[in-house]
Amino acid sequence: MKNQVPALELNNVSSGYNEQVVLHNINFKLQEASIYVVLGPNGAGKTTLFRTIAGILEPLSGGILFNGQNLTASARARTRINYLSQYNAMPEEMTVYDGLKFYSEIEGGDPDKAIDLLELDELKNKRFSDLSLGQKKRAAIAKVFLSERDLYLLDEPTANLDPAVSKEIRDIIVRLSKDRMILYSSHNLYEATDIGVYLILIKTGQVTMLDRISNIKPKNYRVGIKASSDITGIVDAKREGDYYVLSVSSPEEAGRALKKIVEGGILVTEMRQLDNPLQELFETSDAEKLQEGSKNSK
Amino acid sequence: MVFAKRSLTLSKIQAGLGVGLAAFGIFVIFALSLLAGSSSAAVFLLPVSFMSLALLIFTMPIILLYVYDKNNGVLEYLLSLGWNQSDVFKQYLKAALLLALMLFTVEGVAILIAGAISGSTGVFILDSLMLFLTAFLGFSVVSLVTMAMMAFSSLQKQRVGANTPLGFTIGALFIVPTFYLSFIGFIPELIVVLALCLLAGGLSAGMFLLSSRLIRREKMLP
Repeated sequence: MKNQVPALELNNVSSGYNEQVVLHNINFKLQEASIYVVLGPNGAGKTTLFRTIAGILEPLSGGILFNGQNLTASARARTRINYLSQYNAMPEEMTVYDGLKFYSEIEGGDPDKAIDLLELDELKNKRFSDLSLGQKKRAAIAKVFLSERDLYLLDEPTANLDPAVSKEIRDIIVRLSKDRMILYSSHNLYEATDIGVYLILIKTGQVTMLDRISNIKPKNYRVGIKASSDITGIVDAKREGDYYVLSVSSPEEAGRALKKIVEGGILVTEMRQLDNPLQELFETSDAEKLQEGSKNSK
Repeated sequence: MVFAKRSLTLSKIQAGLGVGLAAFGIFVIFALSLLAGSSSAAVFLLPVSFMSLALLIFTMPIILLYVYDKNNGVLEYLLSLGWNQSDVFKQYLKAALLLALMLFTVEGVAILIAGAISGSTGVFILDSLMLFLTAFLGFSVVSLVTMAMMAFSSLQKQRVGANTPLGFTIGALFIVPTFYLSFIGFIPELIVVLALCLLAGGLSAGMFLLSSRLIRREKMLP
């Protein structure tokens, strides 16, 4: 296995707020430096999972091990983890530099290095409250990368950002993710496939799937084709807007359909998968069945 | 120090009100020391009340800062860095006491100057007693109100500020009676004020020691 880092292991972890249990018997073990997207609908328990791993919430039962040490009991193990919440957690009245300095005095690290890392030089003397949403998020990420950690928990870092800024933030995170384990939560399927290597699917407080995203194969592919003339006489396709839409069971079947269309003398100008491969995970209540399907197709 | 500075940046008006009230208390002391002399013993609690209230108002921005930090996720982040509830409370309490100390130093110097200028040993002793009582009452009430307002801030429905009415009322319960004690005589006044100080100090110490049990971690989340 490549890029080994200290393993994160959750054993039968249940957690929540007051007496309300949000996470139920979570079990998984991560031991590769990579980006793990924690995907789930709103209210699934993603933030509670992150807060529990970060030590903000104490598990109601079960245990969390990081590098073999109990995270709840070991302050030392906790110093290897950092957490970016959905809130930026930067003192709004301070400049970016002063805010980073404020935290560096508490947790260590070098504000100048973090500013270089996130390319914040032009913003460092601006008050945090005067920044745009995207700039605020970059500054908040800089805070998380003030000092070297083995595990970063990033809770919906691109929430409420426009697509261009979201892409910029994701690119930064990919750049910083080398040799690090990053748990990245999102409820955005496209974001998950764009940034993630592994997928942790969470629904109603339970982890229903943990697998490489590349291993996840949907049962049906909807392929959109733009062509120079009507292809419905050649393949079983329906016209939907600008596209002729084919439903196939595998990429290979889509390839065979394309070959038939081209052999029929029709020029194909575009061919693309219309649905996100993770779409079915949200639609089906039985994600494990899908996982089984993906394993069978390997 | 950083927390104290941050709070003053956030709410200059309350800090200004505190300074104004302290200035009024100092003015009363100068008036009593220079005009009434030793006969001011009958109303010696009046400037103590003003100056203690000034300390309380001057430290209110710390409570605003606490709620502000809670709402924007700073407290959550501090918890993720390994702090517990007591660590968080300790920082804000220290900042409140530091602010109170800054203003008290000014009050103290002014009181001693007033006593010295009067030229009377009796007035100087009386002014020193006022200084001592201001410190005792002011710091104990500041501690109690800071702890109470942090502890009860999660009860508020609105996210826009601290639970000022509840916390401030608790502080007022200890300070306001001192405005009306002048008619019961010097020694009883002294005893009542010292009793109030001990009660406020004891309550705040108890709340601090029990803070981990009193306040759940999730109450510090945005």
